[in-house]
Amino acid sequence: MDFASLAARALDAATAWGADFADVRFETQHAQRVEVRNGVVATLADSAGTGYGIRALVEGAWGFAASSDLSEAQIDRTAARAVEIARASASIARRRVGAAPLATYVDAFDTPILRDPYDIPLGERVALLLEAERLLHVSPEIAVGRAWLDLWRTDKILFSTTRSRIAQRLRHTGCGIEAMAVGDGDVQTRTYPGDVGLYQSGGWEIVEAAKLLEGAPRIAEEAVALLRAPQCPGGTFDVILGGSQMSLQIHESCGHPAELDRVMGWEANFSGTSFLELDQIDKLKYGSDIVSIVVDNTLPAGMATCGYDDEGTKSVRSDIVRNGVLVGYEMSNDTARAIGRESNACVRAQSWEYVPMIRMCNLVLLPGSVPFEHLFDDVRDGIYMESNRSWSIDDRRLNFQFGCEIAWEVKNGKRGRMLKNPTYAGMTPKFWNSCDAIGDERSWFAWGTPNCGKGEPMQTGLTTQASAPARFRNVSVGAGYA
Amino acid sequence: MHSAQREALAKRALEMAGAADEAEVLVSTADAALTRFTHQVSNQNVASADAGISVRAIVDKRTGVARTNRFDDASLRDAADRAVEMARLAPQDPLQPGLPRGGPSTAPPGAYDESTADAPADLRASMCAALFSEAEAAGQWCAGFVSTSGAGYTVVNTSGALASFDGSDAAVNVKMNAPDSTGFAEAYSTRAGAIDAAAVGRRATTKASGAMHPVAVDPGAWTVILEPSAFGELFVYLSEHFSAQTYDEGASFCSDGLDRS
Repeated sequence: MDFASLAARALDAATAWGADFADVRFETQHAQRVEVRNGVVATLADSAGTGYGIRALVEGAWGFAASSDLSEAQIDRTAARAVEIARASASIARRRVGAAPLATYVDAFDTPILRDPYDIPLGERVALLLEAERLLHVSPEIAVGRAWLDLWRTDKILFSTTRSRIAQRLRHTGCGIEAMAVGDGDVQTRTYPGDVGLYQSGGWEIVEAAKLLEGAPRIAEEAVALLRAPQCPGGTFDVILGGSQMSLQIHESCGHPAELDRVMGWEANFSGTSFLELDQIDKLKYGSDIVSIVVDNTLPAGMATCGYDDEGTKSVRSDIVRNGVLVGYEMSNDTARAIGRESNACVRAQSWEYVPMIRMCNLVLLPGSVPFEHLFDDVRDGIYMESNRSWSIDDRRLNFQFGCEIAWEVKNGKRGRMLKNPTYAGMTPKFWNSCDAIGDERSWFAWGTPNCGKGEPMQTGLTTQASAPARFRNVSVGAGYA
Repeated sequence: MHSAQREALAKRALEMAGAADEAEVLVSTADAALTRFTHQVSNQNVASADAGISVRAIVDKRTGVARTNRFDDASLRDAADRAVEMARLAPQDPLQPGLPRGGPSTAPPGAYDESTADAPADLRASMCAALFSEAEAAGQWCAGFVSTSGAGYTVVNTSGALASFDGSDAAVNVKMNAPDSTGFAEAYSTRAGAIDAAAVGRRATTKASGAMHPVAVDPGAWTVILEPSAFGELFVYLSEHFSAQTYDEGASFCSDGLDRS
């Protein structure tokens, strides 16, 4: 389809209606989901959609309108609507916040893939899930087994009145398994590879790396064992978090509070603001000296990896926390310019019909130097927890309580018996300042999150939190089931 | 797209699913607009118009579903073919009851209000401005949204069912923020004109003012009263455990509780 001529029409129309700046993003998305539940293919769905969204900036205020109708008449109407909306925004604004992107790019980006998942016959994909799910039924107490596969293809092209023209072909693949055991008046669930499965940008190689068939019996046996495992005790313990749980920890207690729109109060009524304040930059001791977190939208396999964000800013890697000190945020053009910085390309829209906004992207906790097995050394009385089961965090992302699927006690440097229903709680900076060991590169992994929610209408964002397991001292454990 | 257009489109797609034993086509249209604000500035002011067509094919008691938002013949045929392909790969469901024959249907009165479905951005802006004024009069700041939308649905199947529905919605949602307290209020209607945004704002500022200077609550057993929206949120989380499937699998807290308190 000739998007270039349609884009020219849209941008001309927006300019004619009075836009100071405009961009238009065409997207075609294809999604396929297969889910097996207790030996039956419960979901086999395939969807495709094409549309476009136009952003218009008028008097420092943004308007956005989208449509799936690609006719020239509708292009004109949608452009006019975007400008009308921007003008309405300007009419009630107590201040002007909009800013057009600074740079112009003409470029293209394709997600690298080793093997196209669609080259694998659908029947073969379904058969893999059926077999993985079958292997979960190690006991009659496994009441529910699930296995799933998601394939997403997105082709998008962005044009702007400042002559940017950026074409991108993004590919994401995800899969996972879950075993739910029921018995003795209890229900326990284990998931694999992480609590949402394994989601990354790329192709079938991600499914192969997940090794669903190898993981199935182990997590099913763990789910059954958890039914009769002792309750995780309450108290203050040293805690070691597995990589998947570290992903959630980074996501909730660093990723969201470091979104600059939350920090500035520009994002407030859905999931709240942030405990971080602008004058804390370069001052706040966010974590211990070994804690360094970067946002890296060039990260191989990252769910947010792309060439450019959805307002046309080139992907970069930038620091959020360096040696424990808060030094940066996830930013858009608007917010970055408001604090005298440049955007680090953290703007995304779920699809053509959604307005681009600041999203958590790929956050990386830089690996430490401790081999995973040595994280247990020097722990006299501790708990090792894996895979997220629940999360609760206040609307400033300061006070949190997270639950995990499984835990093991750690006594005198050795992993001991299995524990169920583990939870831990903390205050974000105090918790990160208690981190005294981070696993090395061999235990570091890019964990994708396919379902991060933000905004209204709510948009689902694709994020990655890359981390190794890590150790935290003197953590409050067990309050959730006390 | 009005209902007659949706019906014509649905019937065209249904013809293309002739390889299925039974088929159902759902055409949906939506035009939704939302003005979101914080600190008395619109931070998200958006509108989106979409239409989609979903084909459900049943082959030998196996079901497949495919969706597209392109309505040319090639796209419709592709969606129908994909639905049939997936149905052939799906497991047989012996309990598949077949598609319903349908019957007469009537939309509830007042379900659709054209002035709400087609509400201009200025209308939402004026409702936001009313909320801003209430916030400023109370010395507070506010965050929330005003939304308006219209949607249409048409379903047709090979058993002869044919039904259409058009609806509209408007909503105001606001959290007022005082120095150490907040107050929340919301209102919904099928008619934007039926919502008094200023009154919603006053309800929220009053709650925020009444909650100022909070004191710490000691941990322990308390009698707790949840306002309706808070109870609704809790109930959403509980509701999946009332499903027959989770009951049957033993995964619900209700699984041992049928016919018991």
